[in-house]
Amino acid sequence: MTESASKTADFRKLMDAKFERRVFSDLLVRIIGYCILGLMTGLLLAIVGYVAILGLGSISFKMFVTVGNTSTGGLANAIVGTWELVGMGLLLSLPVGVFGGLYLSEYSSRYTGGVLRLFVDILTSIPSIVLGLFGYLVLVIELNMGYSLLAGGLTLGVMMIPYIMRISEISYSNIPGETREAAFALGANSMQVSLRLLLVQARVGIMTAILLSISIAAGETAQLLYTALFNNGYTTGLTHEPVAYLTYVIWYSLNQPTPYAHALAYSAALVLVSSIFFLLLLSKYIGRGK
Amino acid sequence: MTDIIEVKNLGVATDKQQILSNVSLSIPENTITTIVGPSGSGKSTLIRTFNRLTDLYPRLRVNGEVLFHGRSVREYKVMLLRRRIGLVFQKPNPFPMSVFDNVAFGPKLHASLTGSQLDTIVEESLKHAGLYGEVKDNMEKNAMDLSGGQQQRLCIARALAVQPEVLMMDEPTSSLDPIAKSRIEELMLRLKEDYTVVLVTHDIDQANRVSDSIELLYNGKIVEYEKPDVLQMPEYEHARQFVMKLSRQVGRQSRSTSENGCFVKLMRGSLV
Ligand SMILES: Nc1ncnc2c1ncn2[C@@H]1O[C@H](COP(=O)(O)OP(=O)(O)OP(=O)(O)O)[C@@H](O)[C@H]1O
Ligand SMILES: [Mg+2]
Repeated sequence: MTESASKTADFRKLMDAKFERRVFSDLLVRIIGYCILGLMTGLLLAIVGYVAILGLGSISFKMFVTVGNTSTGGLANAIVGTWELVGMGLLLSLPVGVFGGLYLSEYSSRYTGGVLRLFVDILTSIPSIVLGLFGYLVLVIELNMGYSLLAGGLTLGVMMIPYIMRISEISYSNIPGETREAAFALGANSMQVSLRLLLVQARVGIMTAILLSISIAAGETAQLLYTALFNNGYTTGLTHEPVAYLTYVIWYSLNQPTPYAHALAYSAALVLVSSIFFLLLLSKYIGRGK
Repeated sequence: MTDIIEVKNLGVATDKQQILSNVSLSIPENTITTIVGPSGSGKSTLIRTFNRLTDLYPRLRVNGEVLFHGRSVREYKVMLLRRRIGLVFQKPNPFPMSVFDNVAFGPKLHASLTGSQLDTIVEESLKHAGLYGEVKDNMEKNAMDLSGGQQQRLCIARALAVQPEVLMMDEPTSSLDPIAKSRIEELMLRLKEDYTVVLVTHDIDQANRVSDSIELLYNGKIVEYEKPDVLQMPEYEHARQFVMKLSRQVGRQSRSTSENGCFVKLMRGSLV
């Protein structure tokens, strides 16, 4: 045997020696994974199951078509109001988020991008009750909107911006540089590259961001308490007209003494959780191609 | 014959590296000019200065001149410059959209065209690139699902679709089978009637087959390999092997220009 061949043989032995331990640690990783999966499944089933059992026991078709005041009536005003608020929030957060993300991914310098990202991250971590207070002082009082769709929606919108901006930033960044180069080499300008290439290519990511931010916004309570208050009927105006929403029904009705109020709360929880569930499934389904 | 592109004392550098230095050459209209040279010698960087794609990388500092029709490329509006000087990239980079949309993307940037005008442009460009037959029944197919070689030809079609005057191709046949390859070579020969072709290739046989002139780039410099002594210099050890292959295969006439003492041209066919 030559010297190098014997070395090779030694190395082979060395590398095979620990293999049983490695088989075990390989298994261990999977066991830990399954444990966590089990825990999460249990938690989720418990929460969703609880809401489902309580909700299904109380909900009726009539609740979807009648307005209510948190102790009597239905949920129709709260369901419509939730969508109105979220829609108003999107009106603000969608353009700001989508173009902010574009700016972060494509045009910001290391410095300006860093500053903007920091601001956005700080915004995410501001407690929603503080945002609500801000909305109350600035929008409701100072700008004289009153408790309203505009005040509540804009406050929600501020909260939605970071999600849309950061997720869409990631979707733009995932588009390979060669794709941009190809467009520039054909004579495209920055606007054309942004609108005809990046925005189109990132649409799945943007859609996911929108659905995620809707489902988060729909579950907010604290900031709406100060800006939208509650309305026993539908809201049709933009300002000086409070808005109903589902989380308020849950929060308020549970504190009421009557069993019907509790039934309203459970039903509102079920409607909310199943809508959010549906939105998240939808976003997974849309994102499935990628 | 007039020079459509002239490069004068071009240098490209980053903070850490001199990528090109003192490159001078000229590219006559309606010819195929080929740039050969070892990997990393700066070929792609060189042709990217022609359409100012180097502008996309602020860390690349470009000095010296590139003239297009006698005017510095700096003086052109960059969108117009890039329409007139097309580039087929070394790595196929189709857009993740349909075959049709890939080819139609460029023309739509520059003009508002009717559907039938677009159809014509797309069909013609695909035919030129020798891809039409394979995709004509399924123009809506996602370009990412094409094979590597089909993608390469799609990128050629996409570049042709904006009707450039100069077509630069960076190793356009690296992943093609011999038949598709010879079709692209025929295309280049056909194109030079109306276009000027700049080819970068590692395939010396291909360079010899199609080129009107061949430039050798080595360590960011143009090697005047026609001068007898130059290749004896120790720094050209590796380049010598390149040139031996070149010169063995081409029965060509040569011209060496001593203007600046900077460049050498090998012309096949008619001497300028
Ligand atoms: N944007 C850039 N930033 C930094 N360095 C770069 C950049 N572009 C090219 N370079 C460097 O310039 C040198 C030449 O690269 P280039 O791609 O031009 O070589 P090439 O001759 O095309 O090689 P190949 O035949 O492998 O394609 C390389 O060392 C590369 O690292
Ligand atoms: Mg290259």
